[in-house]
Amino acid sequence: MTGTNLKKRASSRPLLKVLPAVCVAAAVFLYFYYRINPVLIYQSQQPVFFFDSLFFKEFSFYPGGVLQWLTHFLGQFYFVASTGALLLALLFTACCLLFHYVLKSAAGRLAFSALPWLPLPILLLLYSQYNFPLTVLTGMVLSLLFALFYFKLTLKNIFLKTAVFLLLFSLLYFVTAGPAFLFALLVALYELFSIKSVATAALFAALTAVIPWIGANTLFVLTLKDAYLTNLELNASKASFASAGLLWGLIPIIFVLNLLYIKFTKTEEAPAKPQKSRAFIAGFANVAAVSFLFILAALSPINEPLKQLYYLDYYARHSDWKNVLKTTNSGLANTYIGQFQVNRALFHSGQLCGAMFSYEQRAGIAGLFMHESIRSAYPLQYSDLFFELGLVNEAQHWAHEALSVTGETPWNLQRLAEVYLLKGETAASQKCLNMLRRTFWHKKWALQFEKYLSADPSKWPSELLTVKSRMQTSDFIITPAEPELCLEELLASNPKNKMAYEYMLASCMISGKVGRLMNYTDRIEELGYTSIPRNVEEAMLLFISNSGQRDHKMPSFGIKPATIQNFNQFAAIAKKHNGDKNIALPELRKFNNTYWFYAMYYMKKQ
Amino acid sequence: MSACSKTIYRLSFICFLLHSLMLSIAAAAPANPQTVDRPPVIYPDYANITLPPNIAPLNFIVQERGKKYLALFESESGKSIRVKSRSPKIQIPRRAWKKLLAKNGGAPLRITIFSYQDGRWNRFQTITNHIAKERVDSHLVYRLIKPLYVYWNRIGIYERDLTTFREKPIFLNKNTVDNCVNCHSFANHRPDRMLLHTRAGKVGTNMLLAVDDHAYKIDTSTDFNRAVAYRSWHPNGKVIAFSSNTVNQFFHTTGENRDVYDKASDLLIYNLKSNTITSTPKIANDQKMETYPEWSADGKYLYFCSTDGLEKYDPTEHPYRKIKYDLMRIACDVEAGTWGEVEAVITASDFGMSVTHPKVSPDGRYILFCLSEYGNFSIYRPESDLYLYDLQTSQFHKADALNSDKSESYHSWDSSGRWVVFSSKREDGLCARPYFSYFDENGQFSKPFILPQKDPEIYSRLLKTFNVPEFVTGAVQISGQKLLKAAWLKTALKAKLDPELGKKKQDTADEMWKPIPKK
Repeated sequence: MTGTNLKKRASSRPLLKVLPAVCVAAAVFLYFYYRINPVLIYQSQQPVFFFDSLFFKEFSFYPGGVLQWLTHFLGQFYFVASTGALLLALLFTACCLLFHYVLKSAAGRLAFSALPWLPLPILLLLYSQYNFPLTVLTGMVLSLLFALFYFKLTLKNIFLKTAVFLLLFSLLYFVTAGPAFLFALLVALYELFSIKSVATAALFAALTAVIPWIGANTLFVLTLKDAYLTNLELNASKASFASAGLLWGLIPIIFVLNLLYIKFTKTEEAPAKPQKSRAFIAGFANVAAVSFLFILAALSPINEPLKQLYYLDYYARHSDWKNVLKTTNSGLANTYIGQFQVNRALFHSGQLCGAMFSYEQRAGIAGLFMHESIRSAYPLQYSDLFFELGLVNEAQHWAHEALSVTGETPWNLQRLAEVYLLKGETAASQKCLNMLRRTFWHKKWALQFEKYLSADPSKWPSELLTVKSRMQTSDFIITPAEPELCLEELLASNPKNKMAYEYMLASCMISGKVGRLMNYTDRIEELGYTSIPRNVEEAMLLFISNSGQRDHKMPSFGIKPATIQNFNQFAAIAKKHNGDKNIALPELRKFNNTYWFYAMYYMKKQ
Repeated sequence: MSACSKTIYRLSFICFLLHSLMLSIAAAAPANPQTVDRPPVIYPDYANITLPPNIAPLNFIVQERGKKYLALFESESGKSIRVKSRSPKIQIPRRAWKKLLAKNGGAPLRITIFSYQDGRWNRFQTITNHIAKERVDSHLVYRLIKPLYVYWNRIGIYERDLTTFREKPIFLNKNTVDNCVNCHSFANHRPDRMLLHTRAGKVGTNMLLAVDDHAYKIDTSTDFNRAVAYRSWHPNGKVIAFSSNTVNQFFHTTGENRDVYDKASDLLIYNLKSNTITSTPKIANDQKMETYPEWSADGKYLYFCSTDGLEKYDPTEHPYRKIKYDLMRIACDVEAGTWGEVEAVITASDFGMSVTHPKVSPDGRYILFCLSEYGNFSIYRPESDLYLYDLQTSQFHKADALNSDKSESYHSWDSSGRWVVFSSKREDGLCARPYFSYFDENGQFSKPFILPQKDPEIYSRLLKTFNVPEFVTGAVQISGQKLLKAAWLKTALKAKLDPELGKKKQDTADEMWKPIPKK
């Protein structure tokens, strides 16, 4: 079949023409929607975007800034799973379609119809990593678009060509930085292999090398490394480096191979009309090859623990405590962040002092107050804890750390708006709301919250009122190394601060300070409990058994008989094995959700 | 239609558009407006101020109800400006503004605002400002930074042309892998002599010194001192006084949560030509902590803040509230290298206060300084206010016109001594903004006004502090590229230590401000 015939056939069947693109878009959409879940990409990257010239200005000082600004905007689509998947589907398809037209424009036709779709599996692998930025894909789309535009111009005059190339490359370089080299490379290769103009190719290559250098030495303040590598993502992780490098390299390689193939298979005579069956087999082989690679990439393992981590963060951010507990069971229970979120979830679902030892609590006290080593990675999550406890100043501190670490994300700004409202600093709160009003998804929240600035506190939402009631009223200096001191001060300020109370009990138990715990048990009834939480009962029994002190004031409802019975059983087994915990382990394992088990097997490992 | 007539048609259309635009700018004042017996509320507050004749247009937002607005700017001579706007944002045409101000130095600037509401125009009372005769230095250099706690991220030092809205980055830490950058300073407001510090990160803790279009990277830490911090250029431009501080940060549970105190600090003198650091035990000893050096206008005295060393305090109790700095001075002949005796200028500790940021006026007569309840970090002290000390009368008073109920802190004089700029958190208690005030021959400050912006709404949504505002008489001469190259030099020029000083054990305390740890 000749090219003209193919064209005729395709134009007579428009559906046939768009079918591959539609299939790819649908497959990409389904893959990201069901397997990756774009809201987790949002959770990982938290792209910041404001509809604001001030925000744009920050990106206008350096090459590639405009592309970053654009991808911050596009990243907003990740906030909802369907729009995120749609965005990726459209960008993937646009990239492959543009590559298709670039190949066709440069060489006249394609060696194999599958060629433009070959980058698809690599793109799929890259964007399954959750934290891979959109700059690569968007930069690639823009570069291919510019290349296509250049090829369509079919300029003959070298001066005009050079002028057009200079203009296009300079513009694209300012907009995208590194990705502009793809455009330059494709154009230079085209001049070299298709037009056979070595001089033009060499001139374009030289201009490509020199323009960023001139930019870095005159117009822009940036290092040479940044002048060449910005937005190429070649300095990310090793895996990303390999994949992104492969992607940037693959497109020019396919481009050259296609040019060479067409050049060497070109005959003066029109090729013989292929048989229908041969055309069908060739078409089938192309579809099969692309499908195979796509399926291979789609089925390749993704970083499951990372995915679970983002789920954990997502559920905790949305106060979905049931799912937080469920997620931690899938491998995160023994991570610092997992234990921290489990304990928050246990508190919010009313189980902290009753069932906290149903989880191993290997992190010890760090499981309650977050381990120092991860605080800088999870500043807003750390702020959450202080906010809920009523230590609003410390919540403010860590929300500001979050502002440094993750930027002016809507969640950081929301927290600051809440904190400043609670502190009565409404002008600062208003500033955060003014920023939120310029966001994509949080404008409504800001408009609603703005009403509280002038409203009577009784009109505030219940969560804010709860925090307000727990707020610290006397000043003391925070000692991060001794979180119990904060809890003591909070309880002194407001003895009915239930969260501070439960965290105090939990911290006493987890650090083995059961004697100290006994000083707090008499408040249980005052705080509205109808029975002593099971783990607290267990700790009390252990204290009484070890110290022999029975004169502590007990709540009127006392320790449940079932707990006493279990304790006696536990003690009998331990005694039977003369306290050898290793031998006793198989028999004691049935008590692995008790404080006694924790005290015997985990506490010393802190 | 021929090509020629098409062109004529297009040109006439463009002319019509331009004419309409001009009309909208130069619209006449509305006839028979209803008089409102009060001045309008505008943001930023640019009412009853004294402004420099070379300042950029003071764009503002009319905070009055209306469907459209008209602002009329008039003075003694020259063409008045009328700005008509459908939004409450009044953006004044720059050229017309420039001409009006240039012609009317020493004269009043009257702003009359009309708002159109319920089918009629309202005319508010005229706002009368005063155009000073004295120009303000043309550039302001500041650091833009988010409210900083422990971890810093993006920091930039920017230069703003005060006569326009042009803001240009001088040093962005995104180019140096997010290290800290601070303490920019200029010799006698000269744009060709500048220094700044880079701290931590890949480029290390060094001073970048820009002199006569060359940039040098200097490691100022020696066996005697940590890397230097607060600075003051000697009027001769050849010597810089520095403090070297061991800073500690802590957090409160109510009110302003950040607080800072020094564990140790000394004063040092750096000689540019010999690349040597020297000092005297009189200002570098363990019994006292000295900070915030400031040369007198004639360069014969070094002013500084001083307090007792921490050994004095009960170690079981945090001393932060008791740390109060006095203003001191010491005579110094930098050419001969001789020192006089330390003298007390203001013993603020006697009345339970603490002095910071002393800044001597260019004529040498006044010192503008901050006074707060304790410590030396006035930007974290909401009660910090500006005070003026008269060296002729040895009296000081609160600069009432400048102060608010929030923190007023870092400040600087312009080269004429007629203008001051200072950081104030008066807007929201969170972000410091640069405010300007005119200082007249009678030693009085005018009502301050905020740095004008093209979009006057910016301050209401910019979550960044304008830190360390410094006047410069022109655009910074050294290029950003040269500074960046100097920062990335593999080896810094090591400052030599005056052998007479000897070694001093340095506190190895963890830095209180850090880059974000890599995951």
